[in-house]
Amino acid sequence: MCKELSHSDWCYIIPSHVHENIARNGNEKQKTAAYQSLTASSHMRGQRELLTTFAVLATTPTGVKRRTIYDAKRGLALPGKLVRGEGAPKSKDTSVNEAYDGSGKTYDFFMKSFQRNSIDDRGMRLDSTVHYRRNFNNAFWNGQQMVYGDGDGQIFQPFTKSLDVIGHELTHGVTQYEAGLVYQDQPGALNEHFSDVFGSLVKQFAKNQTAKQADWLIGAGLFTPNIQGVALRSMKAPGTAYNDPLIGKDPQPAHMKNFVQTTSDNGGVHINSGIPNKAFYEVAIALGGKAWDKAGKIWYRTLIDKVQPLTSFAECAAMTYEVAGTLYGPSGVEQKAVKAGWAVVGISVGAPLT
Amino acid sequence: MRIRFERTGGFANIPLRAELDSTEMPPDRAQELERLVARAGPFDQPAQPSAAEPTPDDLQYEMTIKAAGHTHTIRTGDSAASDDLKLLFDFLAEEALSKLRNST
Repeated sequence: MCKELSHSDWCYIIPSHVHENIARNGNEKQKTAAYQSLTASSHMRGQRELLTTFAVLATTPTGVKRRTIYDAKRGLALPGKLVRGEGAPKSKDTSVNEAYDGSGKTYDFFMKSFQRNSIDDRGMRLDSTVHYRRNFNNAFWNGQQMVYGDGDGQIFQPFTKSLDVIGHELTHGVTQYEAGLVYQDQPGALNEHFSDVFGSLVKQFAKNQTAKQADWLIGAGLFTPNIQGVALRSMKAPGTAYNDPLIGKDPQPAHMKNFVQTTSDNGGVHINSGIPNKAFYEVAIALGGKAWDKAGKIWYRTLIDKVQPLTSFAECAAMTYEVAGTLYGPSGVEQKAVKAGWAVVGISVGAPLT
Repeated sequence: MRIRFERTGGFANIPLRAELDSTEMPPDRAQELERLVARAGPFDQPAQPSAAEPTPDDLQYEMTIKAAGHTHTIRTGDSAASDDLKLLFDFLAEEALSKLRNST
């Protein structure tokens, strides 16, 4: 049956993810064929649940926003109950609307700034689950979707409240598809760094702020009024976001000399990200204007074209320097700003400053 | 039953650590803990349940449990833990936070 590829008997050896890609991104004829093949092979394998997914995929146009919001109803099962799809009217549930609007703004940011079509650059549907577990103090990307807790009401409010959190989680998806940075030690801290950079830029883009106007905070508005702190992290001044009797002090360093060696938090991925975060802030401020125009573009191209799974801070710095030269010319103000930004955190790139 | 509980990582990375003792808990909470421990069966769980790729912003747990003469430590990311273990972790996080609040 595999001698020729007619609509009805596509070879089942073709992996189903290839079919899925075609169903998502191919032209109408290809989509129909891929859908038929998926239907047949799913029947053969008895994977009934796949059929519903692919039926939706095959009929949804690509290159547009496709958001799906689920409600875990305070339970453990993911994704939970479908509560709002693309284009559906507002829900009465604030978290549902925040996840819907936030993932939409993140999609718009990546599309308009970098012509990136969703997480995988192939129009991947953006799935989010809200109300995950009880009093759950976290938001995360599980490899396929975003998951948001409601917070415990004592330290945290619902994690959908902050747009940069939503941008942060979706960027973990982008990093997974592109650089594949390992979530441990320096590569892990860079993974966190890129999520903070684009999380912050999503917010700045939505507010149409310049680098100077932006607050450069991650997770502003997540703490309850009980907590003494403005946010979880500050890219402008790492280590200053909170200082509270109950939860302690923001542990982020802003310079390599204060790099934290630890085994917890996957080797301090949320701690040492303060160092590259500060460097990015310095570059964005030096270049002025809207941070996504130049600094963001340099970082985006670095993530997409250069960064590898085990890239270190110093290597990443050198990559941004190289990319700045490629995009804007060697020894231009952009490349000089990148060099100076990394120098602020104790990382030197390129020839010595003259 | 005594439990040393530590939660780190997650998007917020605000560490939560506490030494908990079921004999110091109100009877209904101590009972609930017994029930959750019986369901999760931590003594039957490997010290590190999964060597899978870490999940971004996943909470990280380290739990040492002492009961009936046995001591066992589990280190795991939240996503790799069983549902029953997740429910136990959620309970312990609540207890740890309330203990911390009472001491600050």
